[in-house]
Amino acid sequence: MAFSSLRFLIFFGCILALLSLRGGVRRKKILLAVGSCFFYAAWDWRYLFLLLIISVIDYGCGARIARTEDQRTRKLWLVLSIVSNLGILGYFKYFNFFIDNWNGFLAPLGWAIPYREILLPAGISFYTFKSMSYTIDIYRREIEPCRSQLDYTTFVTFFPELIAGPIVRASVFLPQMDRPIGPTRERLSSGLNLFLLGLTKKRVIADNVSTIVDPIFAAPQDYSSISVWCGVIAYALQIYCDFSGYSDMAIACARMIGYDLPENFDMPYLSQNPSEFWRRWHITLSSWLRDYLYIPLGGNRRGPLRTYANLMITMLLGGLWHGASWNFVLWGGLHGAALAAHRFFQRGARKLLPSWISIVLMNLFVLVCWVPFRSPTFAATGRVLRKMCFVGSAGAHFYPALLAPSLGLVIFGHVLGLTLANSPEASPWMRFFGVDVERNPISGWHAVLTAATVPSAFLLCFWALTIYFFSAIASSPFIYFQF
Amino acid sequence: MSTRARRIYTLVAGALLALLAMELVIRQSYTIAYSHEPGYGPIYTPGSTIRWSVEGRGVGHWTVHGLRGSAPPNLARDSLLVLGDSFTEAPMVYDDEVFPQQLEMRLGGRFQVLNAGRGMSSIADYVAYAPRHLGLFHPRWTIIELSDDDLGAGAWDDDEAAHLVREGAALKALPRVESPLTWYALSEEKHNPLRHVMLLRYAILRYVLSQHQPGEPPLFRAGTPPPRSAPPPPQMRYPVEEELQLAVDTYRGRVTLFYFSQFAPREPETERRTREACEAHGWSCVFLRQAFPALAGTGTAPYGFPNTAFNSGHPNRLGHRLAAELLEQEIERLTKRGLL
Repeated sequence: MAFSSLRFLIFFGCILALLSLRGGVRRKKILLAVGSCFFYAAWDWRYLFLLLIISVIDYGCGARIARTEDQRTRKLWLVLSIVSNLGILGYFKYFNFFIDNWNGFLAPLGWAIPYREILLPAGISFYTFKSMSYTIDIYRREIEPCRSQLDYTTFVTFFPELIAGPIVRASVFLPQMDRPIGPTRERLSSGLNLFLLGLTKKRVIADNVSTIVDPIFAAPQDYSSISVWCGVIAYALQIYCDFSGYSDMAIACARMIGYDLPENFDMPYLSQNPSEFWRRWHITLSSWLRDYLYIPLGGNRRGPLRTYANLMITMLLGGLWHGASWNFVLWGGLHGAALAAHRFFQRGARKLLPSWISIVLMNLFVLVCWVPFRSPTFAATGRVLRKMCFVGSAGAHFYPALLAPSLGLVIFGHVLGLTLANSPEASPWMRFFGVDVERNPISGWHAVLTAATVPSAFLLCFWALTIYFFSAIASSPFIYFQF
Repeated sequence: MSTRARRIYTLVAGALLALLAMELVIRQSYTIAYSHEPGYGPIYTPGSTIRWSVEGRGVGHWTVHGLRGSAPPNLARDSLLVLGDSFTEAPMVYDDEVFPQQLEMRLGGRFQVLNAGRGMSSIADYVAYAPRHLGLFHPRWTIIELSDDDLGAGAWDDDEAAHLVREGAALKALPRVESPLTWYALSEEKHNPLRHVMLLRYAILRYVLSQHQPGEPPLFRAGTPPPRSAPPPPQMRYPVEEELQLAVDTYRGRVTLFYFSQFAPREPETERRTREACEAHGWSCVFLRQAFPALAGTGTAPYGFPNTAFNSGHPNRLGHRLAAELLEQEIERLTKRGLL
């Protein structure tokens, strides 16, 4: 069930209605866990058992780790948890990738291995990482284990962020489990605003520009260089709005239920350097990789060369996390190289360029990196990059009319966001329009149209109508669902 | 006023204002008005202005009998009647950009060119409603616009649209089934004030268009593996040549078949069979493909718009211009032969 579908809206409405009834916290957690299982089973009921198995294994391992002080035993249970999660992820996501590469080298020697019909369970990359964070944090003595399997299952299966994140850590979610849940007027109001924002990004911007992106990336050789540049810029808009839109809707749904999820995007296209980009893009993944991969490898504590190596390893694996393809590894490698280069030039150097030039250059680099991310093969990547370098620049002149308004809308959103973010509280004009500012320690700040005045009710309703009438007629799947 | 009542008033007032504002916004890019002609079905309301931005961007005027134009035609003048589907109706381009109107300008006013295009028509429509067209307009010559979808399956398979049937050895065209409950009928009922609400009409259009979109693709669905693709069933071979012969005979041979060819290197089977039939019978036929060599290397295509996709959908300004140029040449040729 995609968040932008009518089926989901009916399902979510039922969940909220049931949570708003009187009842204890435990009863509501059961309802939430059952509802989440139903949500996941709507994709494929068979893979629900996989999700529940991971939940049972990691709950058990977490309990065992916390119960003993013997370091060796603790480590064994941790290893069991990590091996189980990575084993399941590796089998379902990377087995055929491994076969592909194996056969590429060894099939001529007669050592080919047959492919298997393996289907990628929805959200597996997200919930395995989420679940591993639990056992690792217990091992590090940063959190206490869950008191019950119910709590842990509710955490692992929590449907708003189950399929495509944000990757919520146990240390963020579990402390919230004892408080009452259910919709309140404030949470519904701010959640609805955030949901509309996510829906706008997804349906109005991402789905509309996807009509530009798909044909250009399918046959870049047929288009002129400027048309290909338009397609790449459109893809940058699409992936940002698609993924951040989904994250917004996930955070909104969780908020309306009663839980706060961490922010996942913070205007990444305003970044001036690679480090800043990864503090603003897919924040929960980059912080997960930093805390559970980069730092255990040594981080920046073992000299500059080791630091660069650690950065490259982290980003290469981060690229591979996105998909079983060398294209994603290339994408990760490019970002890893950029991070390493930035760290190298940053040492003792003062800032050389004005901010706006840094932003432009950083965005150019990010645009080029999106090409292997989007293209299905290296050959396709090469075709697009050649066109972008104006090699064989002739081709169809397609200057999409949808690109300028989409870009304008994103820029407007950023300007509005920066203006509102710098307001510690609602200014008079904001109060006239019924805009309130909410600051949450976990999910950041949010501007909320409260519908308390006629202008704000007008804006809210007009916004909802705009989403309906200006969204793409055909919906594309969420991009990060394939990860 | 109590707090609850105030809250309800605020919401209702805000919602009504928002609906009004959106109505004004929608009217800048989408206005449409349908009427129902008994025995023929839906046509654009005479005297209406149609704004269309769903694909392309156009403003069109429609007059009596479903003809495109600002003023009713002078039926005493010599006329060329152009029949076609949405490629001829073309609400996505302006009045002076549609190929029948361009053809009239190119012919220097010698003929009045009547644009009777109606969306979702096929060759079955042009045959089934021939008595109406010939009786109303008495054209000197008829141009029938065709494309791949208007012949073969497109003319046979829909029991609700006009369609072809075989009676014994002969083909026959049956008109559309007139149903009072079609979505356009609901929105154009004479005394229904909601027919002026473009918001409602546009919402209905979006709903209708969304029904023709493919469902959510199963890319991310961990479900049953797709069955190994079975060989496609053998394609039914439709009697395209007989369909064309039926149309030519219905219009007593005073007809030009104009084919909007796909802008692709390979000629599809339907177009190839049409071309071969034209050559075999010596019919007056024009194919847009004749203009394609001039487009090679220009980076342009006769289909597609900046707000949709390159080379897809309906003909754009370039496509209409090329169509008008080719038809002008054909009309001149027919005139020289004394047929017009």
